[in-house]
Amino acid sequence: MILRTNKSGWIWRALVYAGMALILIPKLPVIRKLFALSLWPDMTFYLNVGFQPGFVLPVTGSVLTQIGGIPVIGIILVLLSMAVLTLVTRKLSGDGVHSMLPAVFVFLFITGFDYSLYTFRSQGLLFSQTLGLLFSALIVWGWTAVADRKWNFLYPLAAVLAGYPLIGAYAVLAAVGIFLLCVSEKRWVSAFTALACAGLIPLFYTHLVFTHIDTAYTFVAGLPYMDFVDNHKRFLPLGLAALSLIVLPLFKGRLRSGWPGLVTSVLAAAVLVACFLLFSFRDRNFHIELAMWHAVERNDWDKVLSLAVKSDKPTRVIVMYRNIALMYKGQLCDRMFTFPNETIDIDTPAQISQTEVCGMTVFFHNGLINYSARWAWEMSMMFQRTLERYKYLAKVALFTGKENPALVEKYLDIIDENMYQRGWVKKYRSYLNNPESLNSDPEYKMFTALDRFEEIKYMSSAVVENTILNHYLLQENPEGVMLDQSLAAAMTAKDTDMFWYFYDILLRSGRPVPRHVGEAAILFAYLDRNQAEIDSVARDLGGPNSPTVSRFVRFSSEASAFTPGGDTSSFKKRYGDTYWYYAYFVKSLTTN
Amino acid sequence: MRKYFFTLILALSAAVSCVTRFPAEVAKADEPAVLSPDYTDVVVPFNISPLDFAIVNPGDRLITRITGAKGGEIVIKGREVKIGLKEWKSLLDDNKGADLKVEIAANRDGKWVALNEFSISVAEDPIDPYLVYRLLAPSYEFYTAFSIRERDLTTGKDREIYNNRMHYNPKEQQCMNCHQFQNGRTENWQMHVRQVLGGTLIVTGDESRKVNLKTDQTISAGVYPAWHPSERLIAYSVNKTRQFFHAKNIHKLEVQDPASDLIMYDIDKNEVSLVANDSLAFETFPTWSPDGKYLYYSSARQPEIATLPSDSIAICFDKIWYDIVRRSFDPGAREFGDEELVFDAKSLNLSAMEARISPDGRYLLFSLGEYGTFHIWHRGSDLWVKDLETGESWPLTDANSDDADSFHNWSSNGRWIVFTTRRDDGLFTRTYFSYFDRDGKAHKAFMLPQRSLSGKYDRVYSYNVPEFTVEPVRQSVRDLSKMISQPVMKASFSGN
Repeated sequence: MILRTNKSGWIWRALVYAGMALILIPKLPVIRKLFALSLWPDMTFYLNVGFQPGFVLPVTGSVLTQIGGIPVIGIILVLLSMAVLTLVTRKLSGDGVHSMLPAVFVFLFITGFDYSLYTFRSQGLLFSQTLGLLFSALIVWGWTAVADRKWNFLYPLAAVLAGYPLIGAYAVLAAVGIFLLCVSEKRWVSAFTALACAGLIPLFYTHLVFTHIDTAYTFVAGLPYMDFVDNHKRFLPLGLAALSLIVLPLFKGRLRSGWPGLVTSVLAAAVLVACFLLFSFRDRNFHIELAMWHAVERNDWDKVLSLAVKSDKPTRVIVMYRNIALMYKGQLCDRMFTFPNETIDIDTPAQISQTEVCGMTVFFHNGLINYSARWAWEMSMMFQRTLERYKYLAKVALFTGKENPALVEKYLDIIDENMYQRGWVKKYRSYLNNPESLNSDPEYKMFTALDRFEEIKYMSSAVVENTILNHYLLQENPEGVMLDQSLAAAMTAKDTDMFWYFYDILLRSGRPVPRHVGEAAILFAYLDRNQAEIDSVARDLGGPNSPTVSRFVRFSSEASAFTPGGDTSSFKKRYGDTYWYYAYFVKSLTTN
Repeated sequence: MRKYFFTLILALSAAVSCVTRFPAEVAKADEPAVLSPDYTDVVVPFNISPLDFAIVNPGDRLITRITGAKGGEIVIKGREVKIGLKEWKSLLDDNKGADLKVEIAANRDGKWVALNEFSISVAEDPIDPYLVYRLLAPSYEFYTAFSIRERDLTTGKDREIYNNRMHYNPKEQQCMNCHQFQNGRTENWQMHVRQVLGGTLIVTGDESRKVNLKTDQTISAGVYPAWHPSERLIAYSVNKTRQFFHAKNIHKLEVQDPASDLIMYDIDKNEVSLVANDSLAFETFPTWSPDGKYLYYSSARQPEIATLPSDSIAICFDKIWYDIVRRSFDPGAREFGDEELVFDAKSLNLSAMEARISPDGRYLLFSLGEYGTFHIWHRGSDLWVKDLETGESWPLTDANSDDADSFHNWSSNGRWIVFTTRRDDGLFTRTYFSYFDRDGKAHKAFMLPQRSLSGKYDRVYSYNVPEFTVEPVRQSVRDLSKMISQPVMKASFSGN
């Protein structure tokens, strides 16, 4: 039984932190991705963006994100930052469940990261806003120490004057917090000073010091206003965290300073859970995609496939990652339709494309490495330079074999600035120093197999899956893995003409007919109503009594009795692992 | 008193012992000095800011001595040779027209060895004091943050003139390009702003206007500009530009104009008129002769391609070759003469772009590449000159590199060429200068003096559109932001 004792405070806090840890564990893929989407800060960033008010937050946020590159350390750092924020809030507002509110809200802000993370322009967002709140709280705490001094009115002046360039809007927040405290204590001079400082000093800075920034953003400097475009509800927890931070000190001594009893605890826990359900982003596909991306990065193709089956309605991003894994395993045309293959949009209200989510990775593993490099740069320019983007640029520059080695060195030097990347850099630097050794690299091997195509003189690469399908469909006389990809593309696009073209090449090559290719061949022959063709395909598949032909006969008779608009679930149950199900029931493939 | 005296002696001794000395006994290593940037055996203007460099050769300790033939010496220890502005200026002032000898001693295993010495020649011809350039990461279609900046070439000071976050919009970015100054002075200049608050900003003295140069009779707004040297006229190309991306070609990207013409904008009348719009030719990159009597430009007259649909033109990207041509111009009558061929690149199956006439009117400087218009993406692109008096043409061999060299300009005295090149790593465009002597020879090019030798300062940026100016830009970032915020004026079309 939880009693109102000092001990219960620890229990409460322990429970909340344990809850946070439990929530963060499934978020490991998100933390990994945030690490990959950050970079050890250097002067390069400021050369063009310039020193902006609040620059300390993205810098320290990036440093912590980079240190948290090992997800366990990342989780510990997140929890530690919450604990420190709570500690300072306790000093301001007294001990009690309420002292955890800012930390809980900012935690909810972090767990609300959704597809927008691919397009974050703010650096170090995993930690930067927590740090901002922490600095705000420290400034307000500092006020409580000097409030009774005669010169106390100078404190907000000094705090905002020194704080605004460093922490931007969080210095303003602190000044507003001081103002509220002064009003509640009837310290009118200091209240006026704090309010004037909050309103005027930022304007002074942006008009006279930071003359290279847009003054429209004076009071949001340091906040992630460039992120979550069209998705503003994601800011709500952050707003509540800021509000609670400046309001709670007003109630110091008026709120019960102890910790709640059982009933209140249950209620508070229920509220926390409700808030989590409301604010956190729990889309299954989002998390599966991130986990698959991590497995792709490690070339762990079995893991990619085991993750793929966790989604019963996969997005095309999942399908593309899965097909890459099948390609590496040499099973593309045997297994690709054994998985769900529908068109499920990514769950975001923002205009985020599949290309932005996975273009760089998918182009790279499909041998279109110029396009991979292009998207690495496009994303770097639109959003931010990141470890992951530099890694692809380095690999592409290395794989082409025609680039200046100085370019590869430059990328490797940048990546090498992160302590966890030394092994990666060592491996690729050894390739650079000894090009022969590159031949043993599995990604390079696949690249050389996929690089056997004539230059495409004019093609857009804006929509990743569409580009890849067109690329494989345009091949003349493909062989090996390129032929598999071309057959897969023809089946996916349901392009019968190109399918027959590639099918003939397959037969001439003497290779066995892969399972889905056989299914497609018998289906297309049947749809052509060409008995000679049907017989010919049946022979290719082992005769009219072969398992594929026999199963198709059953399927076709059931399908001919199917009424459009009817229930497809029984078909899915029996034929969901065949190309026929995809061809008949998966309509209107949307590639973006 | 004695106590103070001894303190003074001690302090003086310490100071003297700290003075860097070049080692007296040094064995020859027969090893060339490898510097980053490479400033070996270059010709530099006497007013250039310090050419700091890093020594790549191995050595536990390194000492560099720079000695002027006419006197003066600088000795610096360490791998990074950072030279003080005052002592560098003094050394160069004392050695105009003479050589600086650079010696580097490396201490290896306790023994000093001397790398092969090299020289830096100090030309008596000054370089224009300012360079205005655009700084951005290699960009294709998308961008967020980049800026137009000004470098004081005599001191190394660098400042931002404008950046595209001044009018930040998360859904639509702002691009600015093609800054250009009339005669290298900053009283009259222009730049384009695209997308957010788009238009062509034209600054004339204390006034400015933002113009939409697109008319119903022209194919686009103004693109590549050329201020007339004396009149309030700006010639522009109008281009339907497209980019496409190679899947495997080392060039990666093509920028192509499936259609392009030339127009002229009369600032006083706010009026656009056609200069060249031959439907069987692509005309682009105009530039005026210094006397304003000729308009030079690149033209690809290839009816067999020009008449194709746009997508088919794209496929022929490597079969489009531009010549350099010119038309005479009568400023009084505002009339152009017929087109004359100046450099026949097509007959060589090459493409000549970005004509620039030397201030004395004698030399035509251009970039010559395998095909197309956008040579910064073409590794074979080199700088060439044509002597307009003798008709002879030649490549600037000592200044060129194996990688793309393009987008060049003359200094106001015609003795210095600035250009951009990808010679260092094949991707990031850097600004280089070359001395163009009185015999028409361009000397080994040297990189814009670096602000940081660690390479971290600008390592992922490209410098492009370098324009010399003889004075600083008069506007601040905020001034330009206000000018860009003004309503856009629509230019009218004159059929005459």
